[in-house]
Amino acid sequence: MPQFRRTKYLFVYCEDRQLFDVASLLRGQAVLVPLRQILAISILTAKEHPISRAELGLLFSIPSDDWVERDGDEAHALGDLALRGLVLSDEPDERLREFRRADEVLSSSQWNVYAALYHFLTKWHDVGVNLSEDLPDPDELEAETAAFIRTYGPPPSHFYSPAEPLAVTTLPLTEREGGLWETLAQRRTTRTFAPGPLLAEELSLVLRYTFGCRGYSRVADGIAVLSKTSPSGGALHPTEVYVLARDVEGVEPGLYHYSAERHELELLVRLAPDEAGSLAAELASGQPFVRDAPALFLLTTRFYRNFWKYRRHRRAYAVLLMDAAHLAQTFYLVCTELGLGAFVTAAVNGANIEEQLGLDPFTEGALAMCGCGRPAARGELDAEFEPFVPRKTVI
Amino acid sequence: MYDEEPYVEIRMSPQQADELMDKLVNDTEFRERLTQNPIEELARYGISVPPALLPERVELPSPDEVRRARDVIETGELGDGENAIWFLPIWFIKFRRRS
Repeated sequence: MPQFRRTKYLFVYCEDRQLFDVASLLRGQAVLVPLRQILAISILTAKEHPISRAELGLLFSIPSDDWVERDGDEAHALGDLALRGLVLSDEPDERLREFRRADEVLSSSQWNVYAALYHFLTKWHDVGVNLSEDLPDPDELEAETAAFIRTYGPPPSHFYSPAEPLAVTTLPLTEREGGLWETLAQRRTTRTFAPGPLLAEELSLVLRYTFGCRGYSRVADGIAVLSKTSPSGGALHPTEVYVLARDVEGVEPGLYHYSAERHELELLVRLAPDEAGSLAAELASGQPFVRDAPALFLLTTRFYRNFWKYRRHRRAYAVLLMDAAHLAQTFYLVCTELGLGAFVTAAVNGANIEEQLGLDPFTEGALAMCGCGRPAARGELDAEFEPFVPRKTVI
Repeated sequence: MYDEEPYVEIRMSPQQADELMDKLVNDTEFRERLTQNPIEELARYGISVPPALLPERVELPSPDEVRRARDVIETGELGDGENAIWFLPIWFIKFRRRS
């Protein structure tokens, strides 16, 4: 007799939306009617599954912390739910085995269930924004912007002040030049890259000063915390970086893991330069400009590296995102100091990145992509800014 | 006791709903298949239509009519709300082309 257990990584949501009245639709009329749908959300499949009220009842009739035997019609219905990743089954089916494994990994690696819901249900797979190499017509852009503002109104104000502050203290407008101050002032996003390779030394510096390990402190037998140029929650530094080298002097085009321990590139996939460019665009959800960057950096995180300490912690996942964001800013500053252009994007096909790298997505997941190269003359995708001086400039 | 009236049963995900709407507007071949075989085609989207509710001759609203109706629907709470054009730094493009 088959055994079943409800996965703990299950949420139920009631969604109201509008849909065409089907009977009217088939009679030539586009009439909208409200549709109320119960959705069972499985973190194991990262999908919303529409279910009936009877299936909802069945889901809650079995426990999540113990296996129970069922037979007959009930076993058949539970088998259907198992194939959607809502219930675990001990049947020897490959998909069901994978669901059991994913459930076990989520549990043993101390995922907080709300963090898991957010991470897995907001991840993209095969999303293509279908942007052509040619930029849209200016009139089209103008019309799109106007229509957006007509529909949703203007954005919230550029700056914010509380309505009635108790007091206002005017601060001195101190300026500093050179060094870090100048690098900070020059930081900008580059989306137009000049042809030509990145030097091996430049790549090495970017990796060493952004993702490299600068020091360690032994805290217990066999356990040390690391020091890098960006902060990390618990000094755990769970972010990994994979280099997609398209055109780097002395580096074969391909996909590499960066070893912070040895400051080495570990080749995972050999690619032709064109293949590397196409792969970059696919992983960046079709954003065309990434093809031209000679080097790209895929940021992933090893979840249990953080969750080992912050077990099922509600804030742990936010710290992983912050870690990646800190690294992105450091990346910008290092590139700026080297005279390189840089960008970061979170509009990535995380699931495709994980597939490409051969990662178990419940163990290590993609978060963002950075890229750098020699900047071309400022292109249409690059911003030009007017100077702003507090208390003097009016926007 | 009474006999239950036939009714359309719908079990569809937000993605299926969005895809169905999109195909009704943009996919001529799908519209043709839907006209020829509505029960099977709608079943792919989690919509079960009893034969008793089918008209003698299936006729669909025009793509424009469907588009107009669809455009008034706010994206559902679980919708993606993604618009390709906003991936571009659209403000910068406008600025540079004006300057």
